[in-house]
Amino acid sequence: MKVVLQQGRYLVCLCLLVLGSASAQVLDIQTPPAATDPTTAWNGQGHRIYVVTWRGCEESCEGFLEYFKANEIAAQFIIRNAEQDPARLPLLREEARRLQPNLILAWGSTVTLGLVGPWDTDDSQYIRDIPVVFMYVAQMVESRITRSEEVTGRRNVAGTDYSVPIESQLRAIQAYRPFDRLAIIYDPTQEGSVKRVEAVRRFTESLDFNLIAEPLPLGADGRPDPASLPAVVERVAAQRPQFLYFGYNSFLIRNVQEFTRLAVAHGLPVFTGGPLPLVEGEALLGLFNRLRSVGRLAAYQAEQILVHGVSPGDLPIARFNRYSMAINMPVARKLRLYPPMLLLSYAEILE
Amino acid sequence: MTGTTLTENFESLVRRLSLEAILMVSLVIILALSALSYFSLQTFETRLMPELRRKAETVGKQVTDAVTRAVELGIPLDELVGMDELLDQVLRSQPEIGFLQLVDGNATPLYLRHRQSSGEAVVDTPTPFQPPASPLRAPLHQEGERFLTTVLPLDVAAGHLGYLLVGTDKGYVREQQLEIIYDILTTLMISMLITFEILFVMIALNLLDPLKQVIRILMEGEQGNFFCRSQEGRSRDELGNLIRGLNRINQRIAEHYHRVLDLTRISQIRLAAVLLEADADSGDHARDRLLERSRHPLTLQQGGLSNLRLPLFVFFFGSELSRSFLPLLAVDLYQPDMGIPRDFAVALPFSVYLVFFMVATPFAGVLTARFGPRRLFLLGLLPSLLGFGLTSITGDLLELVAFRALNGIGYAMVSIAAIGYIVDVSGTRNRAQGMAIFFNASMIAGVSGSAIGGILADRLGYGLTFVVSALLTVAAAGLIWRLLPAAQPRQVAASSGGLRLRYLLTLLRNPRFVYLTLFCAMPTQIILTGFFFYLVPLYLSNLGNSTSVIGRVMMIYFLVVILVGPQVARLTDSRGLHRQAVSLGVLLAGLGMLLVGQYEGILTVALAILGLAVGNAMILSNQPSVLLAVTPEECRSLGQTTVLGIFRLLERAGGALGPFILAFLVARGGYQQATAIMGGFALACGIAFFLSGLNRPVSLPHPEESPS
Repeated sequence: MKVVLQQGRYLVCLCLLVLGSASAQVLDIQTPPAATDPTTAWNGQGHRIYVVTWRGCEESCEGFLEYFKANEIAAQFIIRNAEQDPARLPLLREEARRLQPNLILAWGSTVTLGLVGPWDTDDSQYIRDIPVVFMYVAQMVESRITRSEEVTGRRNVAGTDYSVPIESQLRAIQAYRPFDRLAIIYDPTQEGSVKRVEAVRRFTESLDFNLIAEPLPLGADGRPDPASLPAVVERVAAQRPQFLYFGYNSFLIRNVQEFTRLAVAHGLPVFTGGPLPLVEGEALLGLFNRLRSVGRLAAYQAEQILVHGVSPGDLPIARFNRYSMAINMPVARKLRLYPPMLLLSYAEILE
Repeated sequence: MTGTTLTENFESLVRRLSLEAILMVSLVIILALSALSYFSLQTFETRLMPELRRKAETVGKQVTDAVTRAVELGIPLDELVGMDELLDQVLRSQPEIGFLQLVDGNATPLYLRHRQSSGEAVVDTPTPFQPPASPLRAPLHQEGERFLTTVLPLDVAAGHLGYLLVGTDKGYVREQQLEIIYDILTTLMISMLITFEILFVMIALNLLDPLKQVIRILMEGEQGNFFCRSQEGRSRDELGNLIRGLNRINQRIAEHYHRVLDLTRISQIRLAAVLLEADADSGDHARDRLLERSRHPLTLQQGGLSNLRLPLFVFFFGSELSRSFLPLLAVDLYQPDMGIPRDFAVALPFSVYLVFFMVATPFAGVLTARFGPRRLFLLGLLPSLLGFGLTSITGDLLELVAFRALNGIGYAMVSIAAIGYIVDVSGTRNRAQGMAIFFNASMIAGVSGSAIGGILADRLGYGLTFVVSALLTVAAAGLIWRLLPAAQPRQVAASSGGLRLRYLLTLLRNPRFVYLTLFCAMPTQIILTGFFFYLVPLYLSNLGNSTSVIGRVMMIYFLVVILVGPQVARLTDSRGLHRQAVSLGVLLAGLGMLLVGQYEGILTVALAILGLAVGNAMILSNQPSVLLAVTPEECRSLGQTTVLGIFRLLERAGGALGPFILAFLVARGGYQQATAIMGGFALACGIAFFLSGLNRPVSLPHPEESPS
């Protein structure tokens, strides 16, 4: 009896262990190894690339890996996930320093800042001697990751710009339907959102349109109030714009479905500079760079550094000059605002 | 019968025979080419219809695919957006389609677009469409008065939607057929021209020249000179046999003469006296002559001017092939990120060519003196061959410029070598005739080359046309190798003795020389290179003409110069109106160009080229006389050739500037304005030149007769 109990305890421990590690895999928990453990180490085949993501290896990260495979560049990747927790970044910095990769790939502004810090500080805690390539970073100058839009101005940092120029976006809208009134709803508490409105306003003269800019009403807590959405959309619709421009801000992103639904209900087509409102919401038209391409562009920069020996600081910030247009057909049918025939031949049609 | 009359009789006989030969050959050629053309056109016709139908079906399918896709995405057929833009895009890409129309199942017209061309009235609507009784499985073709209509069904998975009508414009197709006929006719004409050229040369080489030598041998024999042999005895035909026979006879007589001398040991003088005792007239002279001749046997050279004619023509022909499209090639190769304005960049190949031609000329003269014309001719073909070959594959404007430099050098070397040969062979008396061969070769090559080059470029593309030029250069080399005899003893001393700056300054101190250069020579060259070589192809292409058409228009220049030139020369020579002719020439050129400035279109360009040609003909035949008349002292001190040489150099410098000047004007105000400005400039120069010498005497020396 005692033997059975003992064996049972072993069994339970074993099960727990197995379950634990299994769940660890499923939940994608990757704890950084202890500082003295060098074995999460390189197997000596090809370039050593350390990838830091914010929420796991998504499409752009996959695009990055694909590029190396497609071009037969031998490389080994160690992929880390910050799990949207800024506190993890110092640990990841440590590990990076210890592992001494040939290149670090950083996804997003927070990760990048966490790894290399702002350009105008000398703080030694940040990584300054290992080449870093960043992708999926918005507002790189405002967040002080780079000195300018053209070059990073930092010896060990190279970057990519995935944003589509506003002028191209506005011309895409024009290609769908000519417009002379464009509406944009923005978050007055977010600096980025306000700046976006000003950026669009700069084109009112050259592209000959009026901009209707409505701020989101703030609630008692000083933040935008979701309950006010229907009213704000109605107010905007009353001014009869031909298109509604989706300015990316966290509030609208969180409420993308409700927001776009309201717009469609008022017969307002929504244009977006990113895929989210099209795929998860009822936006009509979008012009953006596919995430896979974003990853591939970053991989191209990495190739310049690893294979061709270019210093990261010498590389210009890479950007696209052709973008993908996507049209949401069900919304087009609902609005009875059909795409022009020529657009149909090259835009991606989403059903 | 004297020797000269004998020669003349023989020559006229030969000429009559050759005329008959030429007529027969022409007949055969015309028959052959007409048959070829007829069959080509037949083939074209039978292949045309199915091809047009296939094209219409393919084009129609593009549209039906796009429409069915839109409908399957849920867009109702009558609510399609942007059909106008779609149909216009298709129309733009297919010039033979006149209209596209979409109708629904009840034949109600939904969308219709006509071809839009500038200035044309809108085409009347196509006749109402009757829907076919049973549903269409395959496209249906109907022929109407103006259009060939192809009907395609518009079907989606859900059912039948309607029809698409594609209208092929019969007028456009007829235009294409006419183009082909023009091309065939042009080719016919040029083929005949080239055949005549070859025939003339063959007759000269195989009949006239050997015949002249036979006569010469016989004449020498009549004079008692048996120490003479001809080198023409190499061919296997009747004349060759005859010459060989005559050579043998002479040789045997000479051998006998020497044997008799040896055997009898009588001195030659005594023998000569014995031989010629019968002839009381000759006396001492005869003795001396015979003695002289036995010591220096006469060798009648093979080769005269005719040997040069064919290879020179072939080379010039190859060079002229690109006449009608070189500026267009330069425009194609131009890239905006070069940093140079477009019009200048396009002018570069020309100016560089002319500059290198100008610079290479004196060097070529020196080389010809050292190595002889034949070697230099062959040498000159090398850079030309390289130039053409590399141009055929280049994709870069700067490379083209470099290769044109090569061609300029080659052209200079070949031209100078040719002139050198002519000078060697003809001596001062026949120099005019010799230079006429040079001039004719270049003009006939101009006619043929610009026309054929245009057609080749149209049908084969620029690259292959340059390959043809390269091949012709090789052919010219082969012909020189075979036809031109090895270096002969030079009769004329080496070149003009150098063109020194001092000479130039001396000439510039002569105001009349300056007038002639500034108001006559340079404007003419500027117009020739700037307007004719550079602007005309660009302007005509801008108006929508193909290179075949451009080639045919440019051909007018050379044709007119050939046809009108001799008449003009005769007129002005007899009346002594050299100076007036020159002024008039410049005026004519200017007038034509003013017309172009005023009226748009290809007709005025043709007229301007006509004016230019007549004007140039007048200038070319009279300018040398005027030049020598205004520089009598300089001719005495520096020599005619030096004066001519410096004059030509200045002329060519103007020519090199021409394209740039016009590029500048075109960039400022467009083609018509640029032409008008040049025309006004030419008019002003012509008048100024006329006024500058109102009180000059009329009699002028002829270039050949002046003491050198």
